[in-house]
Amino acid sequence: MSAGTWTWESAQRHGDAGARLDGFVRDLTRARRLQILADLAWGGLFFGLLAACIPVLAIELTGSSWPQWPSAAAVLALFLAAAGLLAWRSRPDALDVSILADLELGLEQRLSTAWEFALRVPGTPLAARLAHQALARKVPMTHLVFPLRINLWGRLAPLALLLLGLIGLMDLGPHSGNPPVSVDPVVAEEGARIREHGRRMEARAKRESLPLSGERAGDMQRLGARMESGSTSRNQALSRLRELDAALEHERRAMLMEDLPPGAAELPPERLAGAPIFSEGRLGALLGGLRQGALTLEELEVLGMDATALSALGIAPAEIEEALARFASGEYEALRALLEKLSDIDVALREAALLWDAERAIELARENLGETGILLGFRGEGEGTPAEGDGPLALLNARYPVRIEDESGPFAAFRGPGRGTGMQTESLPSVSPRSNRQPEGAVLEVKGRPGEGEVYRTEARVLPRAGKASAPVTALSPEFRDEVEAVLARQSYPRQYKELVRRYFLALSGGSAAERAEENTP
Amino acid sequence: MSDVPPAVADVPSEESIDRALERLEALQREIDRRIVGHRPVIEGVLASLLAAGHVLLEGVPGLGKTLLVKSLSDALDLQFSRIQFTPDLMPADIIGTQMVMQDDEGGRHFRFQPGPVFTQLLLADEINRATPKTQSALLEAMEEKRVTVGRSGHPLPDPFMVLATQNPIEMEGTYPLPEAQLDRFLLKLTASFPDAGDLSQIVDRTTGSALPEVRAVMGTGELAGLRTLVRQVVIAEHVKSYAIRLVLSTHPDHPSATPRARRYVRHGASPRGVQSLILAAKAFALFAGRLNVSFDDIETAARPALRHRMLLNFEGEAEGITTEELIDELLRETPVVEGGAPP
Repeated sequence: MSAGTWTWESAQRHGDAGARLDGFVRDLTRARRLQILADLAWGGLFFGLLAACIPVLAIELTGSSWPQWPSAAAVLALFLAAAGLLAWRSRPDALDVSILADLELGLEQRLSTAWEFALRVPGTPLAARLAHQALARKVPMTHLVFPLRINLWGRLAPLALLLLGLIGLMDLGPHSGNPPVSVDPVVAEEGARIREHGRRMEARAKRESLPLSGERAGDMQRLGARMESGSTSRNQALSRLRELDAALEHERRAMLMEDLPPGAAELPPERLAGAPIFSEGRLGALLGGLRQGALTLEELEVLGMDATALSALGIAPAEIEEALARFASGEYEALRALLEKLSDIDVALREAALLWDAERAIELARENLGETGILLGFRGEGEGTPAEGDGPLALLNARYPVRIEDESGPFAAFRGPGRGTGMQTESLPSVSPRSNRQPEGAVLEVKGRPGEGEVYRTEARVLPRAGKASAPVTALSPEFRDEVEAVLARQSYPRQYKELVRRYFLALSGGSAAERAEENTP
Repeated sequence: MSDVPPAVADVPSEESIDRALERLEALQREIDRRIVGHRPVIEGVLASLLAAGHVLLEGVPGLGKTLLVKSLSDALDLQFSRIQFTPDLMPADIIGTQMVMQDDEGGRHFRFQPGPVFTQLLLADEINRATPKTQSALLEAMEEKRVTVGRSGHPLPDPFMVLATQNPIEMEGTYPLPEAQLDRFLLKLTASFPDAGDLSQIVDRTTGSALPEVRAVMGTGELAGLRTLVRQVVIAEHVKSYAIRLVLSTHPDHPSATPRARRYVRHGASPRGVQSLILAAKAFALFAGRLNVSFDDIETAARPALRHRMLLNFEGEAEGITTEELIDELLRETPVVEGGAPP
């Protein structure tokens, strides 16, 4: 290469370029540092204003005599000081600044390269040449490269200031709390009535082992307590009473339809409970006599007398006659099954009666709260005021004089030992309460011990058909696909066959991946 | 910041760079007399020429790849040879062979008969049609700038540059270039189809009475001077770091690799890849009249320098992924300054 064609620089030619570069980069660094300080100051202002809301809010809420605004100012000053400290610690490096300036000004790394070589090989022709190249283009003033700007935090600061002002000016003290709630006396009175009814209903349900009634009695007590406390408006109370009323009616009907023949649930309760067998103590006495083996046919005559009433409950007269005939011949299982069925019906009727009574109380409360158009189910001829002893519960009570406080009764024998006048149940399996009822129908059991009796066994061997696999084809697990991909990626074979091989193996994994590959294939 | 760069001793003056730009513009003008469009391809070929590298040109037939190489040889005033690669081409057909010669006294002795590789500008047309054995005959020539026949080595003329072409569509009867061979190409350039305006100019130039003449505007000495200039372009540490991070990101097992690179790449670019990337970037910086490499130069050189050095795995090839789109993704996701923008 001839020296005439290509010439080389001397260090003196661009001697002052190095000094100018040094001054320019220092100015840039200073401008960048100011910019960082301003950015962090905006951040300190924004977060300081937000943090100042906390003591102002606390003073407002607690009604403390602590001065609000000086506290807020102190928090704000603390954050600004922290921002200043952070800015002091994050002093930018000159090379980083020159890189950033290159990117900002589109200098194509002329400035940063020149600065780097000025540090690496200071005073050399190369450093001077690069400095000259970097400063040959017109560059703006340094404070225009890194201007003081309002960043996002600065733009959000007025909002934080507005929030602080609102909190400080709004009256949030304890004296300005919500006004006392006005209690509707009618709602409270009806609530007390409902709650009392629920309490009594719960006591009776517990005594007579009626789980559903006990649960609903709890609901009534809770609703009554809420109404009594005044936290429920009249409309809310009416709405909740309506919901509970509908739920009680639905459950009562469902229960009667479960235990009684179709259509029986629609019959008047007094007709259902009118059979003499349900009269006081009779059913219990019959079961007790059956358990003790002291039951006579004379005592069972009541079943024959009740045939008409019992047929309405789904017990055919022929069934009664057969049970009695078998009992006469010394077989009492049919009679025991019949009496237990009657016991289940009795429990259902008691639950229904309690639920019906609860509905009556709720409907009364709804009417007293001003709801019109309610047809009160308990109202009989000419009776205007509900009283203890009305309705089907009263009718049932007439048959079974079980008062809420009474611990005795015809079904005390089924309440289990330790309660009421309970009887011993060792001789016969106890009648299950409703909550633990056994499935209906005959119970099939495997009798005998393992290995007993004759065992039938067959062995068969089948040869596979020619050309067919003897094992069935099953879909492979998704992990297989990954293994296929890994193995195929390691292998080398002609590129044009890769897709073919891949599809073949992926088809073995269920086809999903193969379909995807086909979709991607143009 | 430890070693003093070798370029410190000889720093090109502004006049030298201006003169280099003038010569390059003249070269470009001559090529433009015959070639319409293909600006990125021409710049890539010139960058490889100045960086003393070889070029692989890929494009469908009829795009003027061969004409471009021929025009370049005419404008450079260099020796030019063309080899049409075919499946039955043998290594000896390229590098030459020992022949038995009889002298005047009747004695016989072996004499080396140089093949067409002994030239300054070699056009290897449709290189992927020859068998891998024949393709490999070029390995030593491209890397060492010499060939060995028997026990004796024969240096190739200086400068020596291979411009190979291949057709990406026809795969029947072709042999993909081995990875070692691909790695020896500084850049892989793809010729795209010309637009309507360019096509109109092509028709005007090629259907007339005669093709435009191309004059030789650059000789061997000037080319050597330009090559020296390219090597004297400096690169700052942070720009070099960016190039290195880019190349490292092509490796699927490197932490900086993108999720798609991890999924679809089998092997990333070799160390020769980063050398090629920076050399090509230096050439692009010189084209811009700069004495330093910029991030833009690295990004301009990234596609042609890395596209043939990244090997896709089976899944990548089956799903039609291209290395170009992976490189574009790397360029988007790799921050120019390590750790993001400075504070």
